[in-house]
Amino acid sequence: MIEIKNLAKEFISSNSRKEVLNNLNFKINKGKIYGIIGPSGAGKSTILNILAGLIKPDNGEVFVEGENIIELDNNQLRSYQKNIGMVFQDYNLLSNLTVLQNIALPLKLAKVKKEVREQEARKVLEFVNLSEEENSYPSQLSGGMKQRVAIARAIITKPKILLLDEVTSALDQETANVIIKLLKKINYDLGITILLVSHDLLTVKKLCEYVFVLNDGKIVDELELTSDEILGSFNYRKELGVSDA
Amino acid sequence: MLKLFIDNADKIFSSLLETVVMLVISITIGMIVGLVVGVFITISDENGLAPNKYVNKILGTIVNVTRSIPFILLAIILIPFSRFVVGRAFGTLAASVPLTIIGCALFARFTEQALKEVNPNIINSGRVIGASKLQIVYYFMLKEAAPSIALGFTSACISIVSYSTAMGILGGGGIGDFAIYHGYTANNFKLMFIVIIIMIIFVQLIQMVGNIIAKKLDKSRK
Repeated sequence: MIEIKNLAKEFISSNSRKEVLNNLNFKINKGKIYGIIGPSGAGKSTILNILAGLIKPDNGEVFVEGENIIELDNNQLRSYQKNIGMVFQDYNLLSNLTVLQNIALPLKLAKVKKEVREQEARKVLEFVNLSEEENSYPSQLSGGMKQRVAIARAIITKPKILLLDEVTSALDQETANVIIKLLKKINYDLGITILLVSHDLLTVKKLCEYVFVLNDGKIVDELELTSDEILGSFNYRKELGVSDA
Repeated sequence: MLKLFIDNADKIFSSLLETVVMLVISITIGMIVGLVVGVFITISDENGLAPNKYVNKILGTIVNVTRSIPFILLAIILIPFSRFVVGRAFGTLAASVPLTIIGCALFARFTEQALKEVNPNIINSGRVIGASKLQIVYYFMLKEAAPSIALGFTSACISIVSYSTAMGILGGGGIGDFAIYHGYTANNFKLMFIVIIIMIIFVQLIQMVGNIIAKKLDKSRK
């Protein structure tokens, strides 16, 4: 479904040049849940931003369902982005819109009629178990609720791929578990492929089927999280200097 | 003091009306032009939605230069322009021209400052959900920044009120000119203080309206 080939990206500022991704290659299959782990600054979020069409790499190709998204013009990119849902660590909800309006916003931008978009938004709201909060404003919600609203907004357009950037990092473990359960439901019920980047290994262990380990802009290992044995040996925390959960 | 006010009420109100005319013209045009210029400065920034260093530099420099020139000198420099725009160099209408120019610069800077406070990730989330640039500016920037813009615009309006008091130099009249001419130069300090009290009330009203609008626009503190 997604194939990344020889991806390279560096960020240049007035007094420094930082190579973030260096000859990166990996593949993602449809309908599965993938995780990318690695220390801060390893390039995890950069991969998601490239996949979401927010930034262009310096080199390499990104094939999504056979189409190289790097070559898309602005209109083609907006059309491609309809297949992508993205959720950020800090929710990014619009503070002056209600929960229902936030969730319905992608449909409003696509000029879907008000009754239809509100009906769709209510369905998704029910799916994320927040029906009673439709008229609340984000400031009235807990962190976990805000994240569920952000997830609801990301899936209302029925994307094929859901990109998650540190979605549980700001949450306590109990709330994170609710989010993990919801993401599994999204994957199972809606068939949406999920790619999560996180430095929270516990979330990755609980959610993902496959894990890429990123360090210095390269994939240094790939794991299939299918058995307790592998889970038991899953200790990259120390090696990568990732903080303890 | 009350008797003095009543004796001069006619002149005070006609001066106040001149001030209101200058303010309505300069604030209305200034808000519209300033909002558009502020948006263009923000989105043309190197990290903005549509980076363009020429647009950014040119607009930013115009705003800075306009704000840097002492206002009375700006009004004098603009006399030929005022004559070109309104057909005369003196009077309330002509005095509205420099006020409008400084208003545009003030509103543009306050718009830019408010828009820069919006979390860039919110703008990214707009891009991911397929919003056009125009939609991002409206839904993700202006609406998010609306309470800050309202407060910034309130400050700009109060500055324009203050600038308007100097418009006697162009025969613009207004309440400030009345206070200087009939109060200070006529050695009638009581009359000057009456006008100052009126100005204080006027500014308080503007601030109060601005605060109410900002509060109404701000749902993040619910």
